[in-house]
Amino acid sequence: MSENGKVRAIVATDCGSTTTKAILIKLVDGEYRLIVRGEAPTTVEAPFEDVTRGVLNAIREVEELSGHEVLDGETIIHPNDGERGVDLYLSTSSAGGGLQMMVAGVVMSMTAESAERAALGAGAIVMDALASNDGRLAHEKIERIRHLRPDMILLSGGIDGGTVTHVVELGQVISAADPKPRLGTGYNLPIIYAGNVDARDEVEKLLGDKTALDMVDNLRPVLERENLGPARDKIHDLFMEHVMAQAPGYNKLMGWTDAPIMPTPAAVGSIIETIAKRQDIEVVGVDIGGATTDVFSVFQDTFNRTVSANLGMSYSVSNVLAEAGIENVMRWVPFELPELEVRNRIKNKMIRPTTVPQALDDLKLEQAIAREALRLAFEQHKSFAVGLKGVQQERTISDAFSQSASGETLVNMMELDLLVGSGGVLSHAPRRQQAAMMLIDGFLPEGITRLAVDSIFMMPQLGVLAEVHERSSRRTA
Amino acid sequence: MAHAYTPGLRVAELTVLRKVRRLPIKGEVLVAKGDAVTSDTIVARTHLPGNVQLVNVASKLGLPPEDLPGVMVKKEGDAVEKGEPIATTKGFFGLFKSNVPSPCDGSLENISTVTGQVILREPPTPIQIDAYVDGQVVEVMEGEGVAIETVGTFIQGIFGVGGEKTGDVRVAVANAGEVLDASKLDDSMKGQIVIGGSHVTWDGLQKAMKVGAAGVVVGGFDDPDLKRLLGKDLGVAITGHEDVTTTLILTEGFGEIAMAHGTFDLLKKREGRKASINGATQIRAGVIRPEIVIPVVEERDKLQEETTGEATGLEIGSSIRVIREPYFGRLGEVTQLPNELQKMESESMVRVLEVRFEDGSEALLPRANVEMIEH
Repeated sequence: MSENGKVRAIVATDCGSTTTKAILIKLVDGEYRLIVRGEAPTTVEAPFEDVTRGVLNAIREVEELSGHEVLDGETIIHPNDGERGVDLYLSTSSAGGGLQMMVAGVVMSMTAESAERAALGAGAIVMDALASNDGRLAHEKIERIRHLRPDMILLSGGIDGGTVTHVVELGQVISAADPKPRLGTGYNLPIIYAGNVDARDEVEKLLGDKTALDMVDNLRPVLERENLGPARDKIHDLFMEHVMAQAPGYNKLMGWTDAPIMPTPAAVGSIIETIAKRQDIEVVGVDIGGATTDVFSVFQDTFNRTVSANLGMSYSVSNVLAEAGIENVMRWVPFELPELEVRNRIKNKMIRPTTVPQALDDLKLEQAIAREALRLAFEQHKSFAVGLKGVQQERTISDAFSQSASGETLVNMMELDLLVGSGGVLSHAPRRQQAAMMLIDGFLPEGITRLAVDSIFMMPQLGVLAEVHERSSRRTA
Repeated sequence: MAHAYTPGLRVAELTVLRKVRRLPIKGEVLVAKGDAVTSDTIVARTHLPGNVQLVNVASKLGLPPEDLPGVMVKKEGDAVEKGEPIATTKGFFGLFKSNVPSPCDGSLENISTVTGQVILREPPTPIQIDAYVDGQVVEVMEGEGVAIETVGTFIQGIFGVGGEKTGDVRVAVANAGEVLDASKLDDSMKGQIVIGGSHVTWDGLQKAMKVGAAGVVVGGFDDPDLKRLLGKDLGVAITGHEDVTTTLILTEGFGEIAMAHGTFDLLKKREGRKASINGATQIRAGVIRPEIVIPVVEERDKLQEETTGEATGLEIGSSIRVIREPYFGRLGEVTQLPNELQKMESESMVRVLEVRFEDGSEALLPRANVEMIEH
């Protein structure tokens, strides 16, 4: 900080699953101004396996583009001396490619399915659902757990007071697998137990020592009712506090920042909530990333957030095609492109996630996929927005056969005042009307709705900045 | 100096490789530190608990669960044989008895008077793991597994399907741009790792499976064929456990893309040597790429200190390969690294580099769309 206590220069980074973005904000003539933004591929993968490499590269780009010196070698110059360095360095992160979970339940169509719903609702990709009756041998299940390396396992099974043996059996499988987390080696894999309360002691004996075991209320306390809330909340907590903090290099990055690193969705959510509160309006926000698409909404003063962990523009791009179907993607492409070509291009994007469209037809195809990702993510949001609230999380047996909560959703498109889009494909759309069309086609607003796009892709950074230095965040926004 | 991080798949002619081989659960390590092993040497083994079979005896006999102890003829811990009665009703004056036979050999583990279920456990299944590569045991993790070290050629692919396989390298095409179709495959390729050029056709892959090839390594493959192979659209790239007889490894991507010359030439140089391959791929943080390991232990003394792209990043003069349309697969040399953002045909403003391709033509490309070629 400068001698009079004023913050004169700020660097904020957002480490996404594909790209690390950096922005430089400076105090110019008494006003905070965004000077420049830079980006570089995120470096959580081998050979680097250190998120700070991408951060340094993104900051170097900021330096090159602005001429403002921020780094001295690999150290952030701190504080700003009028010519070089910054007074504040902040960061958000969603590096790690989304939350990847396995779930387990006794009966595939009952507790395993409930567990899957809980995990999906919490924004996870469900890599596999294990069940006592899934037809696989115990050693096959064990191999599967070891091979998939999930971030977290949700174990459920049995109604409260019912049989404990089957769920204990599943506990034995997990215990035998001795699963190791995919990021980092210095911690135990988080496991959430949300099954029959009578089996807790047995499960504790099996898994207490070798895993980071948490117990929550049974997600199927009686056969006729689901209670997904406690498991879902615990998944969120553990992901933010435990899994994400294991992304390679994350600990080093934590030592650099002037405030705790905020998870990207939390930072974006905070900005969306602030906008809705300040202006007293109904807002929907979306952040479409490489691995995940987050949807936020504020209706009737209630904030909701969902994370569609399997819908994104790079790591998950192929899954958008699989879920939406090729016809739905191609209806947005204004020229003929053979299916073979479309499929190959999408798969190539998946296996080389950091590339960008150079040719116009490539851009159009990406924007077509984005429309479908937005549409699917919003559908999920609408059906889960209700489920996130108190007593309505509980389902009856008749709901167990349907994912939707139609008629009960808080999302009302006629009342929507503002639709905000963020994320690479929207923020980097070369023409603003392309971003507008993607938002309109993806969300189908009905009444009078203003559209906004985070055109310089800095909502996450502003979100964290708002927590630390609200004035600069408000002025820059 | 502009510094750009550009990931590249590893292609090393000679390097030291370390492979950790771990049991799924604790067991017994069968080799000692310093032992020489071949790919099929069993290095560790264990017994996995047998599969569990659930039999709802109460419901089969039409009894309430709490009556179960009265009808069970086998107790917890007893050995059972397939077909042997585990429960019998008393019947009516000794007549009209009903039996519940055991569905498997094994032991009776649990009788539940809550659900009426009886749990039977099949005999333990022996599981063993092999060394995967020819080399030397350099570390023993007691009861868990070993680390094997070898010296040889190491090539990473971009995407694969199928698990670990070994076989001799066999080049089936004349050059890196040739398509591998069924006509280039024959019975002599049984158990071999067949190297193709730019693409493998569906018929080509089917033929490779039919003749019993252990693996196919090729530049590209079509996504609709992948869907046929897997029986589903692959949403998230997690592979390696598919039930395929021939492991497929793509070095470049989807479509018809000539294999990088460096990769092809290296594989050609190693033709006839034994290779270990694994198609397992996970594309996300903590990424796993498919791999080809060709031990060449006798060349250990030729090992030089390795350099990687990490230290330097992209520089003028760096060799690169384009990894996205419209120049996908082309090779060239960086001639300029301008700092300013530039507009592409898509109107995107991106950081760029100027490249001179092998044929002398030049182009402006997004930096994100190239990878460094590391040797």
